[in-house]
Amino acid sequence: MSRGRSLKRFMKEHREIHRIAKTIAILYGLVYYFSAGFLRFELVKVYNQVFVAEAGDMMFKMRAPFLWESIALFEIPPFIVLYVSPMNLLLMLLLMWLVYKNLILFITGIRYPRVCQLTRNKGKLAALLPALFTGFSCCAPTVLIMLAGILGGFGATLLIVFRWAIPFSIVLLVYGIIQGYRSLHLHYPV
Amino acid sequence: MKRKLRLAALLVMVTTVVSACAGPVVNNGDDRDQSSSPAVTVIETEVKESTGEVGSESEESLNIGSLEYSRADLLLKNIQSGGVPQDGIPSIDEPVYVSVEEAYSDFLPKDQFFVVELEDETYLFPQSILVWHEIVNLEGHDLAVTYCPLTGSCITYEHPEGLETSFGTSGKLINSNLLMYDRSTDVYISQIDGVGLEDELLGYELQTVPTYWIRWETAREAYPDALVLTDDTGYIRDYKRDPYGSYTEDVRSNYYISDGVIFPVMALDADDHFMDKHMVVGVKYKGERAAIDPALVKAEGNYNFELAGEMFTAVHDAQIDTVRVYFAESDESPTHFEIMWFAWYAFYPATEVIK
Repeated sequence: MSRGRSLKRFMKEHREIHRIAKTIAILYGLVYYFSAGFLRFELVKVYNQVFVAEAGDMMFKMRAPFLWESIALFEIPPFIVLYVSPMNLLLMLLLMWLVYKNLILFITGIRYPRVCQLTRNKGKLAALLPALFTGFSCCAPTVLIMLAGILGGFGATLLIVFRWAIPFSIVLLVYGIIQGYRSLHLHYPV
Repeated sequence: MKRKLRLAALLVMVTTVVSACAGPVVNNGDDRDQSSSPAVTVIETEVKESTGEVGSESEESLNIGSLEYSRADLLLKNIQSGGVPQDGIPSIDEPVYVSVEEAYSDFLPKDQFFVVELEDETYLFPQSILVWHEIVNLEGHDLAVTYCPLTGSCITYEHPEGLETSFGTSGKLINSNLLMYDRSTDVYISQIDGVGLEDELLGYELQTVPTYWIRWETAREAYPDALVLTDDTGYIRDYKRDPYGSYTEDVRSNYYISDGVIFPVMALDADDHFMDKHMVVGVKYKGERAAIDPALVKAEGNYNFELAGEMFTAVHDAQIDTVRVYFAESDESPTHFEIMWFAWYAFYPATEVIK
């Protein structure tokens, strides 16, 4: 039996890992979309929808690093305001998938340490650090205004740090997956 | 060996993602980009001022391309990235207006507007919309209404003479202030300074049209026939929310009233003439500058002062509760606009202060 098939068998036998990872990844995606300002929860009395005229061009227009224009707005009673930014939705899906994969490895590392070479600490680092950075990136402007008095003129420097948060987190997440899978392949009994 | 391979793989990934992602942010098509440079020239002393031979004071038609501007290099060296790409804050290029009557209930009485009085028409621009767009290119007038939320300055500029153009946001700042660019020449123009910084427009001082802050409750009474900019901007934004804070409500993290600045500035007022965000009326004439405390003019009704050998009168217009500045001997106005004190001082530390 190949290593790939045996890994699949292991995951089939432990479906709860998928469920937990999926749930957390979906929550993570929602938090990302919310922190990027595309999803809000506030009182909405009447359903409303707005579409931009030139959606094809608009969807690729960048407002800020990793922040693209919305092409539609839905205000859904009683509490949902949703901006549809296709590029940010794609980025959200990518991040969710990466987080999901990392979580599978993380949970496997915790529950079945004999299967995965990752120690608990390493697993935590691989999954949590990138998530933290991604969240910060989306909140950058708010954080800057809050800290304006303390920062003095150093806000610009902080902005540069925030700018790299998403690429940095993507790199870490990918690296976490590569490392994790390598460990699983090596140590899962074939 | 394995470790080396892993490191190499990681390096390749970092390089790939970084180059793919950072491109549109750092590079706006201008190879003189300063955003990645951490060096900020901080000056505490008087800077070399414009010669005074250019700009709105000049009686002769300006010859674009033949001017000099001694401050240009200094200002260009102090460009900071605002964290957004060129036109990432999109100007409104096809503004749609409604009448005051139609807009009447769309705003709260205390909502802030900017009023631009032209010969044939008066325009009202909601601050809640301009905070998201910063520039409105007025079709048919060769004008651009420009607003920088970080410095509180709203200035209407005429396009450079003879150019069919519009202005856009560069995504960069000087002294925390909007750095615009002229779309026909791709030349930077600082919003507060209003002077072309390079190439064809080097030293060209844009002429201004007086523009004032005004509350909706006042504007709708004073200008019942005005045109009001609508949120039909071509973009989807939350125009009910101001990302910097609020001028009308007591909110947490309010940039407009909190002390301190986010981005580096060329000079800070060590004598604390005013609080950082205190609004003053900045006046420019022939290379000299004055900052007037509106409270003084409001208390006195009007106030006479001298600048560059010319007498001026600052008048409190009670109808719209603002300060207008005129030449003492005529009803013409020099360039003047309201602005946060820290920003005015950062550009013009040698300014006169009238308080």
